[in-house]
This record gives sequence, C-alpha cells and structure tokens, in this order.
Amino acid sequence: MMRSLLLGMVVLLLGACAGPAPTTVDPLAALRRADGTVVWQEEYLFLTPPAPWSLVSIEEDDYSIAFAKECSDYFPCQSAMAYAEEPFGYSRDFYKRVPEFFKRFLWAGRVVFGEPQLEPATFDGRPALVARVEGKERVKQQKVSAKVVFARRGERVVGFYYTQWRPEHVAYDPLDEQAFDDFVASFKFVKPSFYEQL
Amino acid sequence: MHRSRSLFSLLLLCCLVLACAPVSQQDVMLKSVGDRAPIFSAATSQGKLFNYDLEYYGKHHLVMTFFPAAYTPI
Amino acid sequence: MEGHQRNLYLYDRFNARVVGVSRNDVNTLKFWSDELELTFPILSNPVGHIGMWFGSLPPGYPMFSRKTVIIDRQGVIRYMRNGTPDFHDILRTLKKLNAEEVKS
Repeated sequence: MMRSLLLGMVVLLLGACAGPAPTTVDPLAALRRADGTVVWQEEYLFLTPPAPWSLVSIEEDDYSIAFAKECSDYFPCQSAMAYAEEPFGYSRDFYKRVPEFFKRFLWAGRVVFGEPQLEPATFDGRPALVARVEGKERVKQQKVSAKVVFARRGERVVGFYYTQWRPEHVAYDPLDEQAFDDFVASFKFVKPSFYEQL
Repeated sequence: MHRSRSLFSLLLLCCLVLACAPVSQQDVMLKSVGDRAPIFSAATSQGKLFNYDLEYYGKHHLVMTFFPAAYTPI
Repeated sequence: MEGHQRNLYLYDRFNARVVGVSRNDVNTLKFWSDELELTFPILSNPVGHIGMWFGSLPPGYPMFSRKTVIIDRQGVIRYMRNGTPDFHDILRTLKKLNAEEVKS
C-alpha cells in the first residue's frame, strides 16, 4: 500500500516536471515589420540573423546591438556580431582608426591580435574598410577570428563586428560569417544621426 | 515664570549665535552654474602648466571632466 | 576621456577646449594619457581643491566623483552635470554658447 502510494507520488512529481515544450520568444517582436526587418531605436533598420542566433542584452556602452550564437561541443564555442555607433578609437580616417581600435577590442579578454588584413569595401554607397585578424589568449589556449567593417555615418566612423571563439586546436566554422555579411548588407539608417543634425 | 523667560532668552541667544557662525571656507568656494570660475592652475599630463586665465579666459569655452582615477574602471 | 578625444574636432568648431581632472600625480597621468593617445591635457590635482570648488569631492572621499563642468569664454560656469559625461548634452551646450557669441 505504502509502496504504491510512494510510486504514485514519484510519477506525479515527474509528470509535473515534464512541462510543455518551451516556446521561443522574439524579444524584438514589437519592432518587427511585415517584411521581417526590425527598426531599432527608431534609427537603425536591419534583418535579424536567423535562429539559433539570439539577441544579446548588453549592459556596457561598447555595442549598440549584438547577436550571439552558442554551441556546446567544446568551450569556447561562440560566434557574435554587433553594430557599434562609436567603435573604439578616435580618428575619422579608417586606416588610422584600425590600430586604435584593435588596441582596445577584446582587451578585457586578454586577447593579443596579429596584424589585420585590410580590404576596401563599400557600405551604404560610401567607402568602407574591412579588417580581418586573428587573436589568441595564449594562457587559456583560446583563439578568436575577428572581422570588423569600418563604415561611415555622416563624418563619423561606425563599426560592424564579427567574432568567433574556438579552442586553439579546433578549426573555425566559416558558415557563421555569412549571417554577419547578410546582417551588414541589410543594415540601413532610417534618420540622420545626432551628429549629422548638430 | 521668571525661570522659563530666562531659559527662553538663553535659547534665543544660542540660535542667534549659531546663525551668525561663520560658514566653512569650502561652502564659500563651492561653485554653481552662473558663478564665475575661480582663478586656478595645475600641472598636467603634458608636462606643462595649465593656467585657466592665461590660456582659456577670454579665449575658449572650457569643458572640464572630473574623474576618480587613471587606470581603473571605477 | 576617449569620448572627448573622439569629439575633439567638434569642440574645435565651437571654439571649446577640454581637460580631464583627477587626483593622480602628473607621472601617472602622463603614462595613462600616452597609452590612451589623448591629445588634450589631464590636470593633476592631488590636493583636491579644484574638485572641492566644483563640488566633485565629497567630504572624506579620496577620489573625485565624475562630473562635467562647462565654463564659457567669459569665465562663467554655464553647465554642471554629475556622472559619466553626456557627450550629446555637452555638444548641444557648446553649440548654444558658440551661437550666443556669433549673434552678439
């Protein structure tokens, strides 16, 4: 009698724990338009990367908006992309901005970057500069592949960042970069910036 | 009656003395919007002397940001 | 301070200059500002009296609290704000100060 009661209680408990399958909530749902694009802070329009990319909620001022994608095969196993209104550094000249930027980028992660490969590009019909570089955290034996697009907004420099972290002995996955390229290609400013109206 | 009146006078006297007490020097020097900037100088990170009146007064608007300490995120 | 450095070209247009102020010694500030590649001066005020005058040094506290002050060309304090600098606010104020001068 007691045994069947106990068994019954266990079954009930397990049943209670096996709740309904979690539904994915779209944190940008309120800002999403019919064509799937999002207008963020009434200033930026873009296509969000598809699942499993998810919005990153950021406390610091380093990024204006960011998305990340995790995997659990090893650690670290993460790709991230972001738009930054005020990338690290000061110069309005792209080529001078690059070393200023990489001196500070991922500094808190103790990453040491190699020499970036630079390639002219265009964004929003204006000249831009793409920098590709690898960084290493030698003590933790981790590496990061970074691609940064320095673009122009008015007179100022804005930036798009893409990073992929892997353990030092694991190969990078090149497919994630496409999601970043699509994000950048879709990105538009829907109104002039504060500085353009100053 | 007499005692309460003298007690009251003593209290009044104390209040008057306190009201006339000199304000601390810090309060006198504390600046607000609308006040004139003080005359001030300081050594700088550039190995030169900053002198407000020689370099900025009558010449440029000045933005000053006070911050806790170099090399910390405090 | 990096935000100020990024906006230096705009301060120039409004005939404004910028300085940082802390209680660090000159040497520390020299190394620090060289590392950040700042081109504007950082004032060393170890005694802390300049901070006291502008209300940036609470009694008993060893360091300045963040505060931004704007003094116009006539030597009048026109703006004071506690906390991290609001760069948009600073630029709006400088634009206004500059416009006043142009009008007169």
